[in-house]
Amino acid sequence: MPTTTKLDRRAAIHTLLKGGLALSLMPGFAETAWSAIAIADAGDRPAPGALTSEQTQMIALIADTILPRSDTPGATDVGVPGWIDLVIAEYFSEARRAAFLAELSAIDQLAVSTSGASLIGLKHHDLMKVMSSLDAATGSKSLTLAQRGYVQLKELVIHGYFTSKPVQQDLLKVVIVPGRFDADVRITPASPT
Amino acid sequence: MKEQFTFDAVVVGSGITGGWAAKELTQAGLRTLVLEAGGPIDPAKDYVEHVQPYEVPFRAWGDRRLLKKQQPIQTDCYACDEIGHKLFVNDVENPYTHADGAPFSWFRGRQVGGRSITWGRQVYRWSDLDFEANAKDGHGNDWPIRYKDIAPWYSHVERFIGVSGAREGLAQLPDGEFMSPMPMTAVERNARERILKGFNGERVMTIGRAAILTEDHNGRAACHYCGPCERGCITHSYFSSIGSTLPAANATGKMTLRPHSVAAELTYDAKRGRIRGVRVIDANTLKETEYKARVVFLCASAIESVRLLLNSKSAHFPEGLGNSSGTLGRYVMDHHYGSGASGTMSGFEDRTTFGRRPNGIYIARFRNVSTQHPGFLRGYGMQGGSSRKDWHRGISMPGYGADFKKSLLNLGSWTLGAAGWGETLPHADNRVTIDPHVKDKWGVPAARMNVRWRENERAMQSDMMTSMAEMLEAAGCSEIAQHPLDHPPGHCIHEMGGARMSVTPTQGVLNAWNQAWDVQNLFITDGACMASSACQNPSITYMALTARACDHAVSQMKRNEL
Repeated sequence: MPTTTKLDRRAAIHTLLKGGLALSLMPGFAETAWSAIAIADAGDRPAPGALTSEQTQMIALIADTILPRSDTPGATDVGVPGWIDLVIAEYFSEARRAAFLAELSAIDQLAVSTSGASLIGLKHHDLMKVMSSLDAATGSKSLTLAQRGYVQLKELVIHGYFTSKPVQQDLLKVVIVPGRFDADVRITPASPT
Repeated sequence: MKEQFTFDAVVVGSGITGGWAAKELTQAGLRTLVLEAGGPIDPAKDYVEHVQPYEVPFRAWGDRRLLKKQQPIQTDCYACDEIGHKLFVNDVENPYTHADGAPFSWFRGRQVGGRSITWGRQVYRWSDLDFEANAKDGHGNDWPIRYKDIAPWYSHVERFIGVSGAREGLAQLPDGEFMSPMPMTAVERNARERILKGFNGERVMTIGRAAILTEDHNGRAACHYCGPCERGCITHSYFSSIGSTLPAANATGKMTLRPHSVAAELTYDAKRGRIRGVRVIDANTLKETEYKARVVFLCASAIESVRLLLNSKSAHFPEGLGNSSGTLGRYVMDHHYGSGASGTMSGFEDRTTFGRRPNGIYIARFRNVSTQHPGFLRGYGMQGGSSRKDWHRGISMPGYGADFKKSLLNLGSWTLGAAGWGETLPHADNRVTIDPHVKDKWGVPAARMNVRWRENERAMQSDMMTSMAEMLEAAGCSEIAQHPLDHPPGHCIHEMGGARMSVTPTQGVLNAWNQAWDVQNLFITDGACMASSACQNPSITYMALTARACDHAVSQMKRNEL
């Protein structure tokens, strides 16, 4: 049911945008162009629906804060929240899913306790404060419940973003069949990343 | 066409050694049946090396529900992921067990081509340091052959399959018939020179010797450097039986290849003291058929071949076919591997690479070559490589926001690292038996493993880390980190032993020609035949032993001795 799927995805993105998702973080000029990419990258798989609307918005907000839209697409632009929804619904075991959702809830509680509002309702300054507190734990072995959720989410966001088709093709310029191996290439400003 | 039931030769298995047996026997004029338990492969449809992560739902992580249900063991292998998992067996249909406290990883591929489709492609000759090791330190039995016996057969194999590599003139790692080597990166070249200097030429880092073509060869195209060889290669640029030996066998018109054929038992003719044939269960219809032949080659992989022998009991061989020595199923080995070190190399920030080289660097064995290490016997080689960090580093890196994203779109620092592949001592009680309570989908009793690492392997693993860290320091690396890794036996996919070669019939199952001491028309040429493991990747030694055994069998048949 590809048509239905794409409509579902489109509707989901519309909902997110209507909810004010991270728009404050995105330069307006890029918005239209990258939302077209998001729809094209939606894929044929039905939306798994493991998450509530609020959880989806939270994940999208954090994803777009980690990898925001700039002169290159942001996480939502390339469909990262939808992919994370699929991973949570179908890749995670029941136990892991329950643990992750509890950690997500702990992130929201952290927002409430430090700034007096749910994460998706925070002003930019307060959101950055919460993000800073969560990100400080990257690489640490001693993590709070909220930090554990953030570390896991950060991995999902980065993996989802950099393995997406637009990023692989247009930004990383992955050549699938190089045809040769050059062992020592001088990097110039024009070199692809 | 009416099905044929009698052949000159039957080969059980169509992978690395089965393909070689098929080629050599058919080219010698023998009508040869090749039995493969799995189904056929169509490279055009089944090879997936160019599938990209965004083309599969979980971006190559795998459909956990499906994989954990059907392939919970196989998915522990790096190559059995969302893209390549169809080249590995279904664990539910192919069970095995292990002793308490002795986990064993058995990664298998049941399809035409077997594991030659997914293998690691690293090929290193053994030397007399390896063939003499058992005799010198008393662990295991003496090999009935030496390097001079197998050297021409290494050449024979290398010339056919195509091996890229650099000649180094090392006695412990003999050079072969190499085509041009894949190049080392600037970081690797620098490290090689500094390590040579730092260790007075004792530690030699060379480019991996790989069964991957750097030039067109025998109708196969040179590598196109796409990267993930373990998912297949549509241009057959690395050696696999399906792309090389089986087509050569087929071209003779003498080969009959029968997929979906589960070998359940070798039938024994007690009056003549010979194998009569192979009892086969059709994997789809479950119909049983006996295929007869003058000579049988077991090439089903070490554990499968031993399992088949243990399941082939008779009044004459109540403990398994060819087991008069009592050694069948014993002295099972694998390589213990993975412990090593890595570091950061500065000074090359303006350099990168283009293409994905499906090969790395190799550091030839340097322990117990000229002097005896106080902590352990035998030795290890090291495998690794250099690369620039990519976006994956962001997962463990602090940061978020536009600048963070921009940094991940650019290359990170150079890393250089390697891990050891170590020799395992042969122990009689590292063994495979038959589990009396478990059968596979086709009713064939399953293997039960009881293999453990011992003190010598543990001591070697520790040394792998410290010696690699020393080399990285000599190479000029910073941020050097040691990595302990403790995979269970089997995880290296270098299962060896169980039906070892020996000088006398009381010491082993096979003679110097891979021929069963007890039954002259049975040859076993896969990893089961190995009397020690050395530290080199073993497949090319199996291939050379197979070609050598075929030559011997054909000679004996011509003289009517078989």
